[in-house]
Amino acid sequence: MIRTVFTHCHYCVCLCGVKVTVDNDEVTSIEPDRDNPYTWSDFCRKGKTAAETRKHPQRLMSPMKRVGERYVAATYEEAIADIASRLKRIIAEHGADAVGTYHGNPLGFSFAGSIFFAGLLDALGTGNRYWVGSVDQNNTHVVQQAMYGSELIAMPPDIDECKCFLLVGMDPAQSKFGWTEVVPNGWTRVLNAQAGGADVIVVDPRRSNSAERANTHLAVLPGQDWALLLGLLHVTFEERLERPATAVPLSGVGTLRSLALEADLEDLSARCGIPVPVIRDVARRFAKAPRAMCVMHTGVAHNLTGTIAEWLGNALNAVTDRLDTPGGRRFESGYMDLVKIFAGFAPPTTHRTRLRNLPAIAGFHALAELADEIITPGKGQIRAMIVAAGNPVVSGPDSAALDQAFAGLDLLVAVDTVQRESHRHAHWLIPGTHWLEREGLHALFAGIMDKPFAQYANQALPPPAGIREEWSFFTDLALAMDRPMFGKRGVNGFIRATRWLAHVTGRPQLAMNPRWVEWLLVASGRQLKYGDIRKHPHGWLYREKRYGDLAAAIRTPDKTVHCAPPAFVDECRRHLAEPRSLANPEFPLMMINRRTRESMNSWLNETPGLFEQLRSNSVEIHPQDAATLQLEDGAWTRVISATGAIELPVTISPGARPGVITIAHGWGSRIFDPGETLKAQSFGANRNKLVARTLLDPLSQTPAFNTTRVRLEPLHASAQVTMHASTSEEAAVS
Amino acid sequence: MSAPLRVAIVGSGPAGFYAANDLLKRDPASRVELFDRLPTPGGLVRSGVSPDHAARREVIATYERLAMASHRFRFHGNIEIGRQLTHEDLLRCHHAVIYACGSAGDRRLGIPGEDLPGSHAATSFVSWYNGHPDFAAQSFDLSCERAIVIGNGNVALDVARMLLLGHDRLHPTDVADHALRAFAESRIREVVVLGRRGAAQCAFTTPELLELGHHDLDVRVEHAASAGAKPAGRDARAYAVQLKLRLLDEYAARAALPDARRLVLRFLNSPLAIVGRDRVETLRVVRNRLVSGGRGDLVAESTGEISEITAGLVLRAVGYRGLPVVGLPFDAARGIVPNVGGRIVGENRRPMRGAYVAGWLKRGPSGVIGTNKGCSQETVACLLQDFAGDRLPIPDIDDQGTQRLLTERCPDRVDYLGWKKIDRHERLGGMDQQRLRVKLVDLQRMTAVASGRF
Repeated sequence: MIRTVFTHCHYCVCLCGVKVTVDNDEVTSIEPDRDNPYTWSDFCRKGKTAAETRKHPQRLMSPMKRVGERYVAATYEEAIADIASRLKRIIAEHGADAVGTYHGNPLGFSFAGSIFFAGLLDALGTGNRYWVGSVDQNNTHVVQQAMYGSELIAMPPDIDECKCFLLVGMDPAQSKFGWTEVVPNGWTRVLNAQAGGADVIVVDPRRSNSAERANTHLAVLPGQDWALLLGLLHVTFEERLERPATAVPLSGVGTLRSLALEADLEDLSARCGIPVPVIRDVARRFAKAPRAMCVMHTGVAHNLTGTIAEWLGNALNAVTDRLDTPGGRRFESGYMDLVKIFAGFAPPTTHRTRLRNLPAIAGFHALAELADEIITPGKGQIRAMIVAAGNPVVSGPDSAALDQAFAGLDLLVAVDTVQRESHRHAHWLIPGTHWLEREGLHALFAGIMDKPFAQYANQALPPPAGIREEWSFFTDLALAMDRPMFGKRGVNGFIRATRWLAHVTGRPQLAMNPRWVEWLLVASGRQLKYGDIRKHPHGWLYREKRYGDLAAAIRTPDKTVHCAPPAFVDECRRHLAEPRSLANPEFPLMMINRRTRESMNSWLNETPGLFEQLRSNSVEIHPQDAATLQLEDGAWTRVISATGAIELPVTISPGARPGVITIAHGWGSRIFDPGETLKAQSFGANRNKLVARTLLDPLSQTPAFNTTRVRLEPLHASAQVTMHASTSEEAAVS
Repeated sequence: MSAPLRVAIVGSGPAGFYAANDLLKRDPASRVELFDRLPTPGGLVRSGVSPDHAARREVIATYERLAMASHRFRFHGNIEIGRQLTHEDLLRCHHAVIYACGSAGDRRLGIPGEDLPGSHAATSFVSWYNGHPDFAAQSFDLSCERAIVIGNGNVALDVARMLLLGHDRLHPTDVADHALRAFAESRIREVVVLGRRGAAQCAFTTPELLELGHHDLDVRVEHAASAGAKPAGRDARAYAVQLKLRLLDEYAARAALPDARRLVLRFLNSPLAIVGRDRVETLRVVRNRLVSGGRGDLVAESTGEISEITAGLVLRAVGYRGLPVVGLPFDAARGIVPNVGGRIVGENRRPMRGAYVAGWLKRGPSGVIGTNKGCSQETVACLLQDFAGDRLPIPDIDDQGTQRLLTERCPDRVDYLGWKKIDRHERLGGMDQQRLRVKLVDLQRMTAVASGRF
C-alpha cells in the first residue's frame, strides 16, 4: 500500500516541509511539500537522501554491549539493568557529579528527546552537563541574557522588509540563513530584497558565495569583527546617526557612546583590516537606511571575541532602532511564552565546574572543559558519560584529548543511530531513531521562527523492530535507577500508573508520553489548540506577523534593553588595551571554518547519496600563500597547530584572504561497525584536532575555532601515496 | 433525554464556519446545516480577501475539512433564507438558527453627486473583481487617468493596490476574468486615497502599509501631519501608530518614480461633493485640521480651504453595513441585529426563542477574520446553554422531512460535493492558464458544474 506522509526535515533549522511517499514500510521518495505554506523552498539533498541515512549499513539495530574489544547484541532490559546498576554504584561512591552528560545537535531536533533527556539529567541530579551549544551558540545566550534579561530571547530577522543587510560572519548562500533562527528560503529572500533596491553588506574573511553577491564585501581579519562593529558604532555616534528606539526603552547608551567614541577609529581599522573610509561609508549606509538589520552568525560566535562582537552588533541594532521594527530583528512571541515558562519551570543552574570554576550557560557547561574534568583526579571527577546524539570528540576542541579521556571512563553510554568517532570507547551502544520514524510538535522552535508558524511532524515509518525512541529509553533508565524523572518526586509513580493503565486497558496512548508535554505547552499559551495544529498536516501560519511584542517580553529588572552590560564593556576595554596581533613566525596562517550545504556538522558527511562528487574537506588557501609554500592544487599538506596536526589536500581558491586558510569542520569522524564485519569508515580530516581546549572566550567559553594559528608543511611524495591509499581503502567501504 | 441538537446556520463566511465547528465540537451529538445564498462557501474569504493575498483564503478550507470530518454537517449552497425558505421553516426543522450573514451593504458618504456614474461603493468593486455573481455584470470605467478612494482602512488600500498592480501581477491570482480584462485595459495611472483625519488616525495596518513598498509604485504622502518618531514607549497601540508614521515618513522621503504608477495617500481631506455633468468629473474636498474631540480623541474640523481633484472614478471605502434580514429585528442605526451575547432580542430586549446571530451582523463590520472566532464561540455558548435549559423550540420536522423540504423548495441547491466540483473546475481551469483558479461567476453555470451537468 502506498501512503503519503507530510512532515518536515529535521536536519537543519530550515525545517523544510517534505512529502514522504511510503510503499509497504519503504520510503520510495522524499520531495518538497509544496503545500507547506512556509518552509519547503530550501529543500536540499540532505532531506532528499534522508531515507538512505535511516538505512545506514552500520545502523545500530539493538543495544550493543562491549565485551573486551568486541560488541555483542543485548536486549533493552539487559542494557537498562546494567547501566542503571553501574550508574547507581558510581553515584553512591562518588556523587551525582561523577556522571557527565553530553548531547548533540540532532537531539535538539527531537522535542521529545531533548525534554526527556533533560528529565533524565534532573533525575541523575548531576551538574556536569555539557552540550553542543557550548561550541556554537553560547555567545548569543550570554548576550541575550545580559541585554534582554533571558537566554531565550531570540530575534529572527525581518528579511522581507529590510533595506540594508549587515551580515557578519555568515554565508547564507550555504546556510540558507539558518542558525539559531528559522528563516526558510532566507537567502533567496535577501536576494529578492536586493533586487528591490536593498543594500547587502557581507563581512567575512572569505569571499564566500554570499560575499560574491553582496553590494559590498568586507574581508575582515578573522576574530576582529568586534573592532569593525565598534568602529561602526564610533561613526554612528560621532556623526550623530543614531535613531531613538521606538519599540523598546534602552539603557546604557551613554556608556556605550563613551566607549565607542573613546576608541580610536584608525586603531580599530588596523585591527580589523578594513580602511577607515570604508568603515565610515558602511556605518552611514546602515544608519541612514530606513530599515536595516545587523545579523551575526557562527563566523563571529566561534572566536575568542564572539561575545563582545555579538553584543556590539546587537547594540548597533539598538541605537539605530532596528529592534522589533519592520526590516530589523523582529521578536516573535510564538504561541506560548517560552521565556516565562522556562523562568518558572527550570530556574537557572548555579552549578560551577570543578577545575575552572566556570558557570553554566543556558544550563550547560563548556565542552572545552570536559576532557580535563574526566582526566583530573579528585572529588567530583567525571567517571561515567552519557552521550546522546552527540559526537563531542569531533565537534569540540582538542579532539585527541577528549578521545583519550573517554578511553579512561568507567562507563560510556552512547545513544545514536550509528557508532561514531566519539563512541569508540563506549561500553554500551543504544540505538537511536531517525526523524522519519518520529512524530511530534517541536514547541521550542515557536520563538525562533521568522513568521508565526507551527507544524506537527508526522511519522513516516515506525522505528525498526525492537528500537525504542530515545525519550522512552531515558525514562526507563530513570525508573530503573529509581531516581525521580525531571527531578520531581511523584513523577515516576505517575508514569508507572499511566503505563499500568495503558497496559490493562490495551490503549497505549494512556501511558505518559511526549505528546502530553507538547499539549501542555501549547495549552499554556492559550492561543492555539494542539488539536488544531495537528489538523494542519502541511503546517499552519496561524496569524500575520506583527511588531511590538518585544517590550513586554524583556526580562531585565528595569524592563529596558541594556546596551552596555559592565562585563562586556570591561572585556572590550581589555581587548582595546591589548597590542594588535603580531606576526607569528611559527604559525603564520590563521585557520577559519566554513559552512557547506550538504554537511550538518559531523552528522551526515558519511551518508550515502550526499557528496556525490568530492567527499572530503580540504585546505582552502589563497593563490599567493600557495605560491609562497609551493603548493599545487590538489597536493596534500600537513596542517600543524600548537595542539595537533592533520593531513588534507589543498584547494587553491582566490576566495580566501591571504594569510587565512579555510577548513570545514565535521569531517574525519569515523563510523564504526560494532558487528566488525566492515572497516571503520571516514572521509576528510577532523580540523578540530588543531583547536586548543584551553583558549576560550571568557564570556561564552567558546574555543577559537575560527582563529587558530597554523602552519602548512608539504607532504613528501611517499607520505601522499600512503594517505591516498588509506583514504581510498576506507572510502571504498561505502 | 431529548433528541440531538439540530442547528441551522445562515451564511458560510468565517463566522458561520467558526460557529459550526464550535457547535460540532462542544456537543458531540449535534447536527449542523450551513446555508449560503451562493453555491460557494466562504463569504468574504472568497469575495472580500484581495486576490493578491490568496494565502488568507486558506483559513476557510481547514474549517471546511474539519466540519465535514464530523459527519454531522451539511452544506446547502444556493439557498436564500427569506425566499426559498423562511425563518419559520428553519425553526420547524431545527432547534435554533444562527444568522451569520455579515454586512452585505455599504455605508454612504451622504454628499451630492454620490450616485453619478463613476461613483461606487468600494465593496461593490471588491465583490466585482473577486467574481461575486451578483456583481459580475457591473462595469467600472477604468479609462480615466486618476481614481479616488475615500477612506483610510485596509479595504481602501486593497482597492487602491488592485487598481494599480496591473495585469501581469494580477494574472496568476484568482481575480475574476472580467476584472482581469478590465485591469489589462485600465488607463489609471494614479490613485488618491483620502483620509479625513491625520496619518496617526488611519486604520491601515502596518503589514498593509509595508506591502506598498514591495510593488513598483510611486507612493506619495500628503498632509500626513506626522509628529515624527517619539521616544520608546511600552504601549502597544502607541507603538503601532509610531510604526505607521515612520513608514509614511519613509515613503514621503523616497525619491519620486516618475515612470511608475502613483499612489497618493492624502490625509486631512474630507469629500464635499462629487461633481460632473453626466458622470464623475471632479471631487470637491475641504482641508481639515485636527482638534480635540473632548474625550481625549482628535477629530477633523474643516478649515474652509476647498480644492478640487479631477478623477473619473470615485470609490467610497468608508465601511460595510449590515442589511436587515427578513423576519428579524434590525438596529438601523448600527446596521446590526439587536442581540445580547448573540441571542437575538426583540423590542423589549426579550430574546427571540431559537434565534441567534454571529459575526459582523452581531457586532458590526470590524476586526480581522480571526476576530469572528471568539464572537461565534460566545453565540454558541449561549445557544448550548439555552438547549441545556430546555429554552429552545422543538422542531416538528425530522431529518428526513427536512431533506424532503429542501428538495421540494430548493431544487437547485448545491451541496458540499457540488461545491467541490466547482472548486475542482475552477482550479483545473486555472492550471491551463497558469493561474491560481479561474472563478465561475455565473450562477447557472455554477449550478450546472455542481450537478455534473457540465
